[in-house]
Amino acid sequence: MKHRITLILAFAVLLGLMYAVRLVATPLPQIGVVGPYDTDLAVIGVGRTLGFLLLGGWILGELVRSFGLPRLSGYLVFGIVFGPYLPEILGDGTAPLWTTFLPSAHLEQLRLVDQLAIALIALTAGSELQLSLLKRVARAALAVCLSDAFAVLACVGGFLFLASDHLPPLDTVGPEARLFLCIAIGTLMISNSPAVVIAVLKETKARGPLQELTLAVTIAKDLLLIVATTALLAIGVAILSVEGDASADSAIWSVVTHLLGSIGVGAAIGAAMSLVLRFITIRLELVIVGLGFGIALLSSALHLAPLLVGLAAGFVQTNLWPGESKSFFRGVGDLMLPVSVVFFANTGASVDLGKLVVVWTTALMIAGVRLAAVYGGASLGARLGGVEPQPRRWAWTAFVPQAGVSLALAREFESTFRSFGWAAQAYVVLVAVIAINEIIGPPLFRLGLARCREIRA
Amino acid sequence: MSALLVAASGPSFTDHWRVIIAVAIVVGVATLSLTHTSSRIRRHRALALFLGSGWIAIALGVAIGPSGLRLIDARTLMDARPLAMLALTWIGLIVGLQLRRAVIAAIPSAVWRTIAFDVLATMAIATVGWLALRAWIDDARWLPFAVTAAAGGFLGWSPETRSFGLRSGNGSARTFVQATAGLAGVALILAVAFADLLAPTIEGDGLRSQGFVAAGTALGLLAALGTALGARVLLVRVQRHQPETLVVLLGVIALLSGVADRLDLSPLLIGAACGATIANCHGPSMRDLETTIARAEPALATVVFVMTGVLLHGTHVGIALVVAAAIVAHRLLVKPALVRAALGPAAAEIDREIPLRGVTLREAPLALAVACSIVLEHGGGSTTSLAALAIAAAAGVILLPATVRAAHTEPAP
Repeated sequence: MKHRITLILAFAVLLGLMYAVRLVATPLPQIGVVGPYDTDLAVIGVGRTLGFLLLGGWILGELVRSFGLPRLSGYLVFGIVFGPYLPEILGDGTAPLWTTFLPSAHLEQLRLVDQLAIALIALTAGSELQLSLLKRVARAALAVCLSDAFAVLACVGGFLFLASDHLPPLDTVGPEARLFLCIAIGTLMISNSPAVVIAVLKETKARGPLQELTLAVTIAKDLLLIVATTALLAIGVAILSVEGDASADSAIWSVVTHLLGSIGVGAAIGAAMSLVLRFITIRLELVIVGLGFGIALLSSALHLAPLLVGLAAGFVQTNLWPGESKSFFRGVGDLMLPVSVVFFANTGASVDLGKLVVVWTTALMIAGVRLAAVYGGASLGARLGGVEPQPRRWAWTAFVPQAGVSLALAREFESTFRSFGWAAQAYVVLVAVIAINEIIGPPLFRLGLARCREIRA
Repeated sequence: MSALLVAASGPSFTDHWRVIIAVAIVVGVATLSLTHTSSRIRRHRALALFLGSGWIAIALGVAIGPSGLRLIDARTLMDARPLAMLALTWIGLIVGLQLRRAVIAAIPSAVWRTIAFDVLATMAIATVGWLALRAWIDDARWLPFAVTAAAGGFLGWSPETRSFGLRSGNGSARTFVQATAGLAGVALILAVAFADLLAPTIEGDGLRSQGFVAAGTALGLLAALGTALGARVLLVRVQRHQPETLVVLLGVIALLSGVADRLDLSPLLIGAACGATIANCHGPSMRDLETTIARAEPALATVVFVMTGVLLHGTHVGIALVVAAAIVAHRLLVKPALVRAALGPAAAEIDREIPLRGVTLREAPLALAVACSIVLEHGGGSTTSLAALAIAAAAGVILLPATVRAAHTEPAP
């Protein structure tokens, strides 16, 4: 109880400080530049936003943890409550009820930390993938991955098709586009969040059959989704006659370069890092941060998947040079907490509650059908893969959370079909469903790990 | 690292590669500085002098900055401002950590006298410089800040003693050099705050009233005190592990840097106030926090040196050379006499261990950090002051071996 009161008081002091600074500081004009280097107004005080995200998110995470929930949920809730969207929907429609401490312009600047977070999460996931583990769980992981994917695609796609006469935007499009849209949303709903899975596993220090299965399935799903979405977008472009060239050849080529390129570049980075770590044993934080940003930038420049690049780098390092990589991954673990707080609080702040409010009935129905499909698909897959009874019962909880990867896929889908009116509407629905899964996912997964008695922290 | 902000905001393909090359160079050099070979090299007396002065990083900054290959341009600089503020706040914290009550109480009176003489001399030089420049330059809100930045070159000296060949336990000379350098750093940070308070009145700055600056400074100092005490409470309550300490530390530094930025205050001052509070709090969690803060010192030094190189753009070379020559002349001719006057008979004892002229010759690296913060905040002629400090720092390193040799051959006073 004393612990909770301390946290609440600390949070109140933090809020007080934020208010005081706002009162004393002269208001900045809405647009324009200041200072000797024409500093963009958007970057003035970004540090304050970052500090508020870190301290506020962390305090709320600790508070939530004291109630037996994952800290991650605290970070997300902090972002949602103090982000830019809640004041808008609680306002009277013309002006927000209060001015947020996390302005969108600042959060946009902090997307840089997201890239670092994705790289570190991928490196951690790769480092957990020992070859012996892969051999042990390969069959079960493949069964769960395929069964879950098929169940979600069939159930969500089927539900949408059956209810399409009553659900916007499906009720306004032609039969071809309607079928495509059902399959597309079904496919995008297969994704789950590697970031959430890794963060919850790290936080709980979970060890056991469910943890092993979850890791392997999450990565297998990521590979499957890269192939599936690339193929889906290429098919959609061809069927719906979207402007631009998108032949089957180019789609296959795109998948091959994306997959092999990401894995190849990641493996090369892993090998190079092992070499570097022979000479450097102190202050690894700098090397880790440099590597994280390096992965993010290189992936962006070469149009690769940063998650796969990081995974391959971590996998190669940990399996080929285990001696050199031990202290490196300990350092990654130390940096994960601050990076995760910013990443998930920022993710929470980007949950557009306004959009969720508009399409909440459709979103809730799709989320419900997806939840049922994940439960059925994962449980069946676990049974077929010969998973032990207890993890088999709770395996589905790992595949409910959705976050960054799902949002990125939804964004790619929307930008590909932007010329159609339904694309924007479908995007809103997708974002709303992802937001629901983002909120309910982490506590469910923690519950699953707890029921399997795999939590060590 | 600063260049990453641009990459994140979606530049063209060529921009991406420019940024990747710039980041690779900076991270590559920083990584090289962490190797065992590099550590061995830095222990060498002569090489410590050259590498410790940061000229490689400054040259790197010039090479990748707007004056060189333009891998980092004005827009990158603009976007990198939060990171620069963060680094400067962190440096302020490191300076503030020196202000532990027990340490301050143990400082000999000779050090206080030296500091007083040094501060008074620097203030006299700065006042004369400001009056002369004011008669010459018409409209310049940045003038007090440019003069303060340049004054940093006259105040204090480098705390580095390895290049003099001293070993630990080698008498009071090392303590004298390092304690005076540390206190001079604090005095320099306070001087910037003083200039901040004074500037609106003396230059008739219509944008900032003195009341606003005073209220902002008070709030900033209160925030520094509050966050340090808050960090203590939180770290005592939660389990004390490295990740938690890192979250609290990064949160405090980011928050204070943002507060300083928003209230138009020096991040070094706010950081130093927080560091002093942390240093005077008891408990193992605070000592963990101190260790984590201090661990970043080499990396931060590299960042400041690279930042100096990048910011050396659009300077008035002629004026910079004149100011640099004045700094070197003061350090070589006037300062040793001032220190001897302050120390009295103890000067001969210290001079036997370390030649005083060698000590006073080298500028404090903190002066560059202070100048960088002033350039980022106020620009204008401050860039020329920064250039003068960089030139004077280089001159100090070049002249040191000859100065030390000459001091050894001089007859004892």
